[in-house]
Parts: sequence; C-alpha cells; structure tokens
Amino acid sequence: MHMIRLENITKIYKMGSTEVRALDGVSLHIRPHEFVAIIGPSGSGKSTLMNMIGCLDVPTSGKYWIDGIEGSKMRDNDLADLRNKKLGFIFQQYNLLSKLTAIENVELPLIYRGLSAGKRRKLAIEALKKVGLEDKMNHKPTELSGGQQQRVSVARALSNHPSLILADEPTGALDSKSGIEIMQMLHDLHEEGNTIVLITHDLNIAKQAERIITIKDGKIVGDMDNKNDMADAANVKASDLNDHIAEKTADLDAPLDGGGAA
Amino acid sequence: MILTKLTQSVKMSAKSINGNKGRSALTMLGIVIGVASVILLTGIGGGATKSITDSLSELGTKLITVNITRRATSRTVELEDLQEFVSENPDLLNGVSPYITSTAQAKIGRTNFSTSLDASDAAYESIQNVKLTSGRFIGDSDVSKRAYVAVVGTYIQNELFGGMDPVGQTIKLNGKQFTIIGLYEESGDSTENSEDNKVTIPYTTATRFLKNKTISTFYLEATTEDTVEQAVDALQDFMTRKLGDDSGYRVSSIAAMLDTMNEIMGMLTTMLAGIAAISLVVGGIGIMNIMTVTVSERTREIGIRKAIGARTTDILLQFLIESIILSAMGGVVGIGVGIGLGQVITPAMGMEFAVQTNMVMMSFGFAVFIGVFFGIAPARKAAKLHPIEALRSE
Repeated sequence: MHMIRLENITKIYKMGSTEVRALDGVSLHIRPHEFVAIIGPSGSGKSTLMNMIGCLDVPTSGKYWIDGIEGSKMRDNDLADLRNKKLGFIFQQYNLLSKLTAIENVELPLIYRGLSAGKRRKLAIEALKKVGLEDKMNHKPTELSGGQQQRVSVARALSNHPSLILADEPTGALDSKSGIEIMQMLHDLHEEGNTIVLITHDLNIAKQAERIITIKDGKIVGDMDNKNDMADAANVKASDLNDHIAEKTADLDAPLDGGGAA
Repeated sequence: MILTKLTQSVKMSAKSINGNKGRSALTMLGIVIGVASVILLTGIGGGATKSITDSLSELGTKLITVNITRRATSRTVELEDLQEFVSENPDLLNGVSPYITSTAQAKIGRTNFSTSLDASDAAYESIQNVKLTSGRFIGDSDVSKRAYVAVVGTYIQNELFGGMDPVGQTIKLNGKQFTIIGLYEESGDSTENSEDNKVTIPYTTATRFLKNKTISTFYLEATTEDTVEQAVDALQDFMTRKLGDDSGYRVSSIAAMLDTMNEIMGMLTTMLAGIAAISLVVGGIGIMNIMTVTVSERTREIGIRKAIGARTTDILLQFLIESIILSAMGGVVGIGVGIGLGQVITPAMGMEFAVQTNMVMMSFGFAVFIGVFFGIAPARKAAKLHPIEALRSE
C-alpha cells in the first residue's frame, strides 16, 4: 500500500495566451516510512509537485492518492480536511502566525480538526516536547530565533499525528547550525517511522534522504536509491560535495543551479 | 465543535482588533457617530415630546371643548341641549359646563383694578380639576338663584385683602356687590397679569349684566381617556344634527392634540433616524474598506491556515466575526456616547432627555447588520483565496 501515489499527473497553467506545463505526465509511488528528497532547479516543477502531494492543488489531468484517499477530484473543503488529517507541512519561511504564541501555533491544526481545548493542549505540549521547545511555549515567534521558529513549525506539523510530513526547503532560511539541527530532527522523525518528503534545490540536503527523485521541466528524470550513501549533513565536506555533484549530474542534461555549500 | 471554532474566531478577532487599536477605532468611528446621533436626537425629541405631553396631561386628558363659532342661523345649541345629551350618553360623558370669559372692574374701598372674569356652573369644578385653598366653589343653588357670589384668585387676596383669607368678605365687580365664597390655589405667580388675577361667578349671574348673553363655549368631561375619541365623534354628530351643518362649531380635545403631537414627533423621529441611518451606512463602507485591507495584509496568514486545514467556511467566519465585533463594539460605544452627551447637553438647554429604548435596540441591531452586510464581501474574498497563491504573497 503506497503512502503517496501519483498516476500520470499533468498540470497546465494558462499565462495569458500561453500554456505552461508545470507537470507533464508525472507518475510516482512513495511507500510508508520512506525518506524521499525531491530535487530540481527552479522552474523544474518541484513546487507544483509538492502542491499536488500536499493536496493544495488539483491536477489538470491524472490522479493521486494520499494514504489511500483519492484527492485528485476533491473539492476545496474536502481537500482542506485531507490536509488537516493526513499531512504535516514544514515551510521554508516557517509560516508561523506572529500574533499567536508557540503553543497556539502548534494547536492551530488541532483547532481545525475540532478537538477540545484540553485535548489540544495535551497534543501540542507533546509535540513541543519532541522538538525540545516545551519551555518556550508561551513565546511569540518574534521572541524566537530562526532555528527555534522552524522547530515550532515542525511541532505544528507533528501535532495532528499526520501520515506524511512534507518539508519545502526547510533549511533554506536558516544558518548552517540551525539547518543541521532541523535535518537531524527530520532524521529522528524518520527513525520513529514517519514518512518524509523533502523538496530542495540543495543536493547537500537531498543526499541525506534514502531516495532522491530528480525533476526537470515537469518530468521526473531521476529516481535514485540513496540508502547506502545516506549522509549526515554534518559529515559532508565541501570537496566530497563537489565530487558528488559532478558524479550525479553527469546523468542529467543540465547542471543544477543554486547548490548550497555545506 | 462549532463552539470551539466560534470561540477561536472570536479570540482571534479580539487579538487582531486589539493589535491594531488605532485602526480599529477609526473603523468604528462611522458606526459610533451614526448610533450616537440616533440616540441623542431621538432622546432630545422624546424629551421634548414628554415635556409637552406632561403639561398637556395636567390640563386633563378627558377634557373636551365645544366652541360655537357662528350664530348666523336661528338654530342654536344651549346648555340644556348638551346636558340632555350627556345624560343620554353616560358611558361616554360625565358632565358638561358652560364657560363665559370677560373682564371686570374689581373694587374695594378706593382700590380698583381690572380682573379677568369667568362664569360657569357647579359642574366646572370637577371638569376642570379646580383646586381651592379655602371656602367652596360655585354650587347648583348659586346657579339657580343667580347668586352674587364669587371665587377669587390669589392676586385679589393679596391686593384687596392684604393676604388674609377673603372668604366671607365682599367685593364689587362692575359696581355690583359680590360675596366671596372661595379662594383659588395659586397657579401662577400672583401678579396682576397672571392667572391668579381672576374671579369666577355663576353663569346665570353673568348673563344678567354682561352684554353678550349667548354661551359659545362648553367644557365636557369624557368618562375615561379612552372614550374621548368616541365622545368627540358622538358630539360632532349631535352638533351637526342640531345646527343643520357641520361648520358652525368646533369640538376639540386635548387627547386629540396629544395624538397629533405624537404623530408629528413620530414622523420627525423617523426622519432623524433615517438621516442617522445614512451615516451608519457610511460607517459600514468604512468597515468594508478596512476589512478589505486587512484581508490583503493577512493573505499569507490565510494561506497558512488553509494549508493546515482551514476550510472555506472557517476563514469566512473568522473575518465576518471580526467585522461584526467591530460594528457591535461601535454600536455599544455609540449608545454610551449618545446617552452621555444627551444627559450632559439637555440640562444646559433646559430640556428633558428621554432615551428611546426602541431606538437603542434598533440602532444596535442595525449596526450589527451593517457589520454583517459590509463584512461579507471581504470575508468571502479571504475565504476564496487559493492557498498556494496566498502562501506566496508577502
């Protein structure tokens, strides 16, 4: 049983009179407990792919299933429910609500789930404990560092016990130390049995997943098993990275842009 | 579950409004002004109405006046006719008394001055709620005997009797000697030109020495306030029958005057409320503008909420509640301002202030309605935002 199943997904945007094929016949299976990285340059369609997987959008044609539920033809409200119950989002910009405290932010998905105040509180504290920020629960985002904010964001993604964690460039706005912390957190979550899909343009980050899917021009051009090479972010040295990039991109038509340094 | 979401929406709205106190205040201003004006103006109007109706009521709301305005024809209506009519309609009318008014020269010793002279009968006492501080009013036997008796006012007591009780003393009116049988309670300021400078004698006595012997005015008393209208109608029929046409007389009542006044005040109040309603609509437009800006500013937030699982209705409700809270708060503040201002201003103007509760309810209700009506469009806009685009915006 797949966690995520995409069958021949095509997404076409109309920009004035021109048509843009953001995704072109993409098919993809992701199994439970997998740690997948999706990598590609800007404009490759990785954001659109993430939107599909994240049930934030519906395809022009094709079907997709999340944890067995078909989302491709769902209406907005049902998609919202699906997102709420099955997915946990981690965004590059943290996307916390600045007027709410950390715990209120973490409780937000639970509010939309309709849980009572007592239950919400319990689950939210649990999630904050997991990311080590229980003592900062009444702080507002402005009172927290970037790394801490992202950790709150992770707690929010976890509080509803989702089937799938979707991280969109989770370390993009962080310094290297915080970035390493967050990636370590994702590893820990993976070890606990969570399914994680990570979108990135940074090969260094992608290398930490057990499976790397490469996308370019709306098509999947690579799907590598990286289990043996799964690296710790902390252990990747600059020279290794360059070699690795050269090796892997030899398979691709064009070099990746925006590759981050360790 | 709905209660949770509702409570959350209210909390969020409160946070948002609180976080932007200045802007929230400006938004509410239109509503505050609109509601305050309605309360203030209708309160002043209500107070004025109340003052006038209170004064009129003191005169007697059961009082009916019949005036005969023309005596061109040979047909007349006499006191006896009306007395017969009254006894035939005991469920409508209690009594009738004639009324003649003129002036007379009052004199004792060398002091003399002009005084107001009324003439009536015994029934007058109850019909006009006569108040005496000494002696008695004119009685039936005074009338039948055409007695030379008089009831005097406090001006006469002071001028001719040095403030002593004049009952039992004599006074000359137009050269004729009268015995004083009663003293009126002071109703004015006892000066020469006040109501307290008057004497009342039996009408039968008056017709003796006054030039004009016809009685043109009659006062009648209805049984209750509610029978006045019926009594007036019956009287009008009676008078028309007796006089042959309906133009030679007039039947009026204070109750009718009060009705007319209330009608007029009602119309005025409606107009005032209408004008104030316009300013409420302007206030509503203000709310709509601010909410639209708020939605724009919080597009990102909306995207996040939607990504996390907020449904369209959740977002719609959140923003709608915010505008309703704004308008409701504006309503409450407006009511407070209206009442406060009213109570401060009216004493200075020497007027009464009567808060019209129905206006308070209506303007609050309208304010909330404005919040809903003008809040819906921005709220729907927010609810329909696509999460992806919303997340991208800054």
